[in-house]
Amino acid sequence: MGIDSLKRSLWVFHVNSGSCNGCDIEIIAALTPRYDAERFGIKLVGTPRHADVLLITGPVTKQMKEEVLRVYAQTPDPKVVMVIGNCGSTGGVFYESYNIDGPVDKLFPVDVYVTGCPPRPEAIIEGVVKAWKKLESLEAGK
Amino acid sequence: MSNSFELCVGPIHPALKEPIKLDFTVEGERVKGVSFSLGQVHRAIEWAATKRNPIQVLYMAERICGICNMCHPMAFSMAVENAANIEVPERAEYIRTINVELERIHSHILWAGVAAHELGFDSVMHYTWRVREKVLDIIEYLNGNRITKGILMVGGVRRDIQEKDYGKVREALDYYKELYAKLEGIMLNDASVRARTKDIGILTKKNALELCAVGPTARASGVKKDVRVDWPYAAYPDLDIKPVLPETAGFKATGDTYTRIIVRLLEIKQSIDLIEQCLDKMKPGPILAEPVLQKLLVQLKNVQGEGVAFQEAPRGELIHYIKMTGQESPYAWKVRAPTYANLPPLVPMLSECEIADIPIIVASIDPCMSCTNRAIITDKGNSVLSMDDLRELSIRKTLAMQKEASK
Amino acid sequence: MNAAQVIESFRKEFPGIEISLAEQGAGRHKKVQVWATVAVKDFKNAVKHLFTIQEYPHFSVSSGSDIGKEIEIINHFVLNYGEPGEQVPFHLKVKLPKGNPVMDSITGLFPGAVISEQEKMEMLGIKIEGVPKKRVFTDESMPAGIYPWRKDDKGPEKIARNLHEGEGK
Repeated sequence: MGIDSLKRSLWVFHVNSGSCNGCDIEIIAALTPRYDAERFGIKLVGTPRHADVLLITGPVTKQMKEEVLRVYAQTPDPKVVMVIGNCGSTGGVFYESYNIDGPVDKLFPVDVYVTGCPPRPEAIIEGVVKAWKKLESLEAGK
Repeated sequence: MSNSFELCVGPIHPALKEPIKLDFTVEGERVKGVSFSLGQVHRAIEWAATKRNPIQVLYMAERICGICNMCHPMAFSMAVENAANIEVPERAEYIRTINVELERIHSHILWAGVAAHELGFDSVMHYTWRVREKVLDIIEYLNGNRITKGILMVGGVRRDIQEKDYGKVREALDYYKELYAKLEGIMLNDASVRARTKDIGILTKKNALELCAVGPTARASGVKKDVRVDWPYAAYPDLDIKPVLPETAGFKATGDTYTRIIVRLLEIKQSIDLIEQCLDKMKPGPILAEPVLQKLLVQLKNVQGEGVAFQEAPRGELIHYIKMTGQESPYAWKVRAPTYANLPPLVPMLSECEIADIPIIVASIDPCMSCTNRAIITDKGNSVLSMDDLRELSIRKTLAMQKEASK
Repeated sequence: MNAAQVIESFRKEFPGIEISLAEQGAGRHKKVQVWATVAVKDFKNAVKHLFTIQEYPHFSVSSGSDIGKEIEIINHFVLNYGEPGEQVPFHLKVKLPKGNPVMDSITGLFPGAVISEQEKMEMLGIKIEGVPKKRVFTDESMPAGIYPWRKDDKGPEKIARNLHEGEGK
C-alpha cells in the first residue's frame, strides 16, 4: 500500500455534520470485530485535539457549520481531512436546500473522499490507509 | 473535564429533526430540569421534495435515516399509493414485509450494542455488532446493498426474492434463533445490566399516553399500540402477529429502561417468526404494479389528492403525509419519524434521575444511536460535561455497583 | 366505535362539518381513514370530542401546506388503536386565512403535541395560541419573516441554494 512504516497509531475524530447516520454506522462497523480497524491501531478518540485524522460525514447544515470549523481549527497539524459519503463530498441528494452550507470542501481543504451512499466499511478502511500515506508524507515535509 | 462539543458523533434522522441537544439543570447528582433543542441536522428534505418528482423523492426518503432506510421509502410509497389508488401486487407486499422485518432485527441488535456501550459493556457492544453482520449479509444478498437498499418503487419493489434463496434467509434466521438465548442471557439476566436499568427512567402509562409515545417505548409502559396489528398494512393482515408487551414474557409493564430492553429483545424473536411466516405464505407473482417507469411517472403526474400512510418502524409509529395536485412534484410532504414523538416522553424519564443514568435512559428510547452525544450538561452554571464524561460516570457507576454486589 | 359511527357522531355534534370516509384495499387488507374539515372556532371542541370515542386517542403529528389564500393545517389523530384491525386514522383539517392565521393549541389535551405545534409556527408562519413560540428546526441564520413551507413571497426561495450552481462554467 506504500505505507513506509507503521510508526504510530492513527487517531481519528468523527464529526457528523448532518448526515443520515448511514455512514456513521458503517464507520462504527469498520471498528467492530468483522472489519476490526482497531487492529491497525486506528482508534476513534473523543476530542479533535488528540486526532490525526478528521472523519466528516454529512452535507454540513447551517447549524453545524460553526462547529465543524471549530473542530477543524482544534485539530493539531499535521492533519488529514477525510469525507465519508456522497453528501459530504458533493451534497448528494441534498444538493438543493435552504439549510445547507456544504459540501465539506467549501469550508476547508479535503484530502480523502470516500464516496458511496454509504460506502462499505472496506472502502472506509481503504480511505484511512490513503489518509495514512498522506499524513506520512506531510510529516516528512514533502 | 473536557470541553463539550455540540458536534456530534452521530446523530441521526436529520431531516426528521431527531438529532437533539438536551440542556439539563442539575443539583449535585440529580437532574432537576431538561429542555431540548433540535434541528442541527435539518436538511430541508420536505421542502426539497416539492421540487422533484415522486420517484426522485423516494430515493431522498431512503436517505432520511441510515437505519430505517426501508421504512421511510416504504411509508412514502404507501402514502403515494394511497393518494393515487395504486394496488400493490401481493408478492411485493411480502417482499417489503420481509425487508422491514430484517431491518428491525438489524436495528434492535444495533441498539442492544449501543445500550451496552452506554453502560460501559464494550465487549457486549462488539459482540452484538459482530452478530449483526449476519443480517446485513443477508440484506446484501437479497438487495445488493448493506445499508441503503434501493429496492423500493411506488407500486411494488424492484427486486424479487428467488425461491432458491429462501434457504439462505432461513439459515440466517436459524443463526439468530440459536443465538437468542445468549443475547437474552446477556441483556436480561446479567446482574449489572439489571442493576443499571431496573426502575431507572420510568415512563408511566399515563405519561406515555399524554405525551403520545410510540413503539417499544410506549409498549414497555403498557400502551398497546402497534400499527402492524392495529392497522395492518403490507402482508401483515395475512400473518399471525400480536403486539409485544412485557406481559407476554411474564414481566410487568413498569415502563422502566429494563422493560424497554425486554420489549426490543422479544421483537427480535417476533421478527424472525414473521419472516418465516412470509417465506411460507409467499406465492409467485408480479412485483410491480407498473413496471414501465415512464408510464408510472405520467400516472403519478396526474394524481390529485392526499395520502397518508402509517408504518411500524423499529422505533415506533412512522407517518408520511403527501399532497399531490396534478403536477410533477408533490405539493406538500410531511414525515414524522418515531423519535420525534418519543422525545417529549424523555422529559419525565429523565427528571430526578442521576447524571450517570442519563446515557442509558436516552439510549433506551433508541433515538438512533448517538443522538445522546448532543447532550450538554451544565453543572451548577459553569462547567460543561461532554458525553464522554457522562459515559465515564456511567461506567464508574456500573463498577461501583458490581463491587457492592460482590461484597 | 367504528369509522362510520365516528362520522355519525361528529355530524351530530358539529352540523357544518365536512367529513368523509376513505377506504383502501379489499377483504382482510381493507383499511379506512377519516378526513374532516372544521371551522377554526370549532377546532378545539372537535379535538375534545375525540376523547368521547376512545379514552385517550393518539396524536401523531400535524402537517400543513400553503394553499394560496389560506394555510391548511391537518392534525393526524389515531383512534381505536390497541384493537386489532380496528384502528381509524382521523385527519382533522382547519383552514386559516393568511391575514389572520391563528388557531388554538391542543397541548392542553395532548401535551405531546408541543414540538409539532412549534414546528407549524416556524414552518408556516401561523400563530398557535397557548404554546410558547420557539425555533425548533432552524437557527438564527433563517431571516425573520421567512417560513420554509410557504409558497408565496415568504417562502425560502431567496435563501435556498443549489450546491452545484455555477459549476462547469
